[in-house]
Amino acid sequence: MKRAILLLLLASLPGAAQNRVLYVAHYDLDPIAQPGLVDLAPGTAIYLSPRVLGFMGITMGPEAKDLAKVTATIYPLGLDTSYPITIDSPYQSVYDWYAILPATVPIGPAEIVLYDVNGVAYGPAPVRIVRTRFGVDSRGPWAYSPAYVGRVLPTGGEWVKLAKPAVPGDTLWITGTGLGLATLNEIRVEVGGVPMPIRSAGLLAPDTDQILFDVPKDTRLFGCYLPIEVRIGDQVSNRGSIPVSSDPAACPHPLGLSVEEMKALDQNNSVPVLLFSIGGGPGVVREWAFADFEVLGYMDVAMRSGLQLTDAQEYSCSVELSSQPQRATIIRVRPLDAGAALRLQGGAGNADLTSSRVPQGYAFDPTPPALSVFQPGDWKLSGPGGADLSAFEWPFVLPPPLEILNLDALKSMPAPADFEIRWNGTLYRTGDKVTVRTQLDSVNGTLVCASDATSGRMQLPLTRIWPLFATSGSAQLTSQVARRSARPLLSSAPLKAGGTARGMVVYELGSQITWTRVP
Amino acid sequence: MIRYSVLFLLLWSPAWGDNLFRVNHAALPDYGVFNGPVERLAPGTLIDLHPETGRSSSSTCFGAQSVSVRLHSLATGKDFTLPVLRGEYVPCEVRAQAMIPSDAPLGAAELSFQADNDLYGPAKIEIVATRFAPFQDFRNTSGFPVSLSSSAPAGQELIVRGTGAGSAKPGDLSGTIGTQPVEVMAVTHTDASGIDEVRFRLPASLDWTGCYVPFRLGEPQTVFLAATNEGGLCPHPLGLNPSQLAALDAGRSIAWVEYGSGGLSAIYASASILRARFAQPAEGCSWEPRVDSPATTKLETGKIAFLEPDSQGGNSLQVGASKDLLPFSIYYRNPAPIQLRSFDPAVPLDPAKDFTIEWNGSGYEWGDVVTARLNPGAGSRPTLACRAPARNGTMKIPLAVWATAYPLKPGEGADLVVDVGRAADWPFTFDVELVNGGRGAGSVSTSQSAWLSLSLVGGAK
Repeated sequence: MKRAILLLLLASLPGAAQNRVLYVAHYDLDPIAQPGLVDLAPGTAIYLSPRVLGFMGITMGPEAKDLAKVTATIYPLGLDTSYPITIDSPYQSVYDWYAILPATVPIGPAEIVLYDVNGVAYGPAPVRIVRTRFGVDSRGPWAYSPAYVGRVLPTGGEWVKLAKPAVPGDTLWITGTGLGLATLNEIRVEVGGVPMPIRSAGLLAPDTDQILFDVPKDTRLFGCYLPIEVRIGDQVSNRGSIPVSSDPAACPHPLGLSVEEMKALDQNNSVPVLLFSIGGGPGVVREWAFADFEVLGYMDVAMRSGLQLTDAQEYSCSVELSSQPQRATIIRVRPLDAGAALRLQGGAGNADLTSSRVPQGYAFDPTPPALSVFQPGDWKLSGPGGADLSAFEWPFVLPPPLEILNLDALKSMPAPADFEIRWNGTLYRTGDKVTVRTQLDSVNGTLVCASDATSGRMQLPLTRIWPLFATSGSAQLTSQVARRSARPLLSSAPLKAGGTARGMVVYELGSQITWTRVP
Repeated sequence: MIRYSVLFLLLWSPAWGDNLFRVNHAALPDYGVFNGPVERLAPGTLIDLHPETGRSSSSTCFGAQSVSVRLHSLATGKDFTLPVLRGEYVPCEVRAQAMIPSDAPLGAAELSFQADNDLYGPAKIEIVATRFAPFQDFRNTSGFPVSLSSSAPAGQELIVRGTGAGSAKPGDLSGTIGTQPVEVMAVTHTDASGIDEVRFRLPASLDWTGCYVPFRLGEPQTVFLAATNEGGLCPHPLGLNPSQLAALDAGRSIAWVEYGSGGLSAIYASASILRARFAQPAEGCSWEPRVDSPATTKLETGKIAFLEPDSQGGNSLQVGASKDLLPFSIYYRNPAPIQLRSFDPAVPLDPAKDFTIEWNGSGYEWGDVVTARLNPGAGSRPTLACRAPARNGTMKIPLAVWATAYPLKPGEGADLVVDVGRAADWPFTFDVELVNGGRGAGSVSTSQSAWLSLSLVGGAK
């Protein structure tokens, strides 16, 4: 009731109209309810998020009475025409609406206005109608999220899954939204960075585009989480993942999961997965270790497995933006009991991992912080056994943290130029990866470059980022040696209920350097 | 119970701190000045409250959950709790609107502001019988808003909304449209919201017509009204067509490209953005409002190619295609630089007297305007802006107006910026086409400036 009174007051005061805003997002590509100019193709599925910027910073949607019926219209800038937008249904929050842009809206700048049942306008929201901006439908906003990919069969079709992966010779479909006016010869579907032959592309349903493509019979690119993306001209869609295998019964899982376990995940059931990770290093505030032993669902297993990238994809540079689409489906997890505490032995001594409630697992994170426990060399993680797991021992080897040999040259570099960072590559093993992150600012994101740790070198394309970097005046450079997610150190532990839980060890040993440049 | 009362009194004691906040009449410009001149406010006035949040590690940086405002009358000792009508939160800043109680006694008073546990003030104010200023909100007597595509015709009765009328009767308020007086017919106070409505009649024939005709009523605060002798569409400085005017009236935007000293920009332009650019106050002097840069969405522009100036001193450039716009051309002429006559900035000026500047007025076109802006060399204080046609060659600057409102301390000086350029409502324009086949609008902002440092004798002691 108080809120209703407040809204009435807002509406009656000067400038109140400016408080009613509308945010627009591409269904597959953009964060929901974020301001900014959005590029959209005709016929794209979108979210419309009306908001009232209200009292003392509280952001809220329209009053409930306004939700019975809403309409939306897109107005091309400078034209004396308008096009109704099909509003479908609320999405998650009752304030976010799922809608479809008209297919006939002309290319160019435009504005969208949403009207509540009383005709009160929210917006306008600026958009740019472009020929094409395609997003792949996937089960989550992250690159490892499985994409919705199906296999064409004579009798219809079926979804591609871990235990029913795509195989050479298959014809597959992928769905998404935003093909717009793209023509068949400019559409490329890439799996693991390799273009697949396209059969057709077009509208499957009013809100869904479909692309049919073949998996070449001679492909040798196999994995449970191969990246799949769609390129149209110079535009690249979001990434999803797809299982591809020579064995129609299962894909080669990076965690060594059995066929039965993969079937369980396909059926939205869960499997035990044991993840042990170690982090820290010179210049980093503290060292830590964490054993995350859980029964996990499809998405969490995908997250822990990571995308199975080719070397060319893995060892490259990209700019990461901080914002991500918000749509995600996470399957709840259950922790596994491995005993009261775990013990870590090796290097400079022992470390006990005690049971932790938040986050749930076994943690080594002492106060005062540990700074030099994780010396390179042989280590062993052991557990006494508990309600779920029997006693186990995992031997593993820790590499040394990264030491950049020519950091002084980088700091004294007189002008922006590409720069080769060097380290001693002989200290590392296959599967070790060096990542250098150059943090710009919240708008421009972070330049992330990765290289094979055994190569001992990485090209940092500073000239590419200099125009962005010049606005921030300084950057923070973080370097890290980590285990490549697609190649973890595998292990296992016996389950008391019978069978074996798959496990892996990953490490992230980093150093952090504040690298200040005055442009 | 007694303990709580004592605690309450302690919290609201005038001695509880030096966290500043500023108060201003909601229809008058906010200059962002803390500890500025005492604000004069009538009972029933809507006020804006801005705490100086940067001074404390306050919860207001994270969004306040509650705010309250109190008024203490120094004349009667009586305390009032003010209704807070509206609040906005932007990072590290809380802005709230409240209303001076309609039964507040006249005379000196103090306002105090609390956001969660952060206390601000007291700020000194003076309660006066009336101090009306209008908002940019005109309607006809049927309640329909005056708009760009439905301008007010000459002779029509209109209602302007504002605040601060207090006890004013129609005869207490006088106003002008352009340079002509308007007939004030009725003043209505709407107590609950702090909004007052003044009914007035336009002259039977308007000397100044257009989309942005300056209007004053009560305080010397200019707002702008679309007014024409016949009503209907107003002639926009950008030459906008009826559908573009209708889009602006409906709260939507047009594509607007401007070329000026800041380079080339193209944005989604709303009615308020265009009004801020093209509304031109009448000749003479007025306080220039502090304008916060509005949030804009940019359109993409193509590459610029500059051509050789023509024999008349005209400049041409061509802009290539972009994602949003088709290629277009721009042509404009810069006015001659201002040449001030017989003026020695080293000679101290008497702030009690008018100060006349003279320049060579020959060679300027109709529509070229000289604007002289007087502002202090340091700090954030309002600017007094005076305008005259460039062909006049002379302008008077009433230093007393400026010096009385914002006295300089001994030794302080002021800057005078004299600028000559095309009148805001008479720009060079060019055609802009969008990739969707629609029409945008383009304008050129030209100016030539001269900066002078003045020193004034007899500053406030």
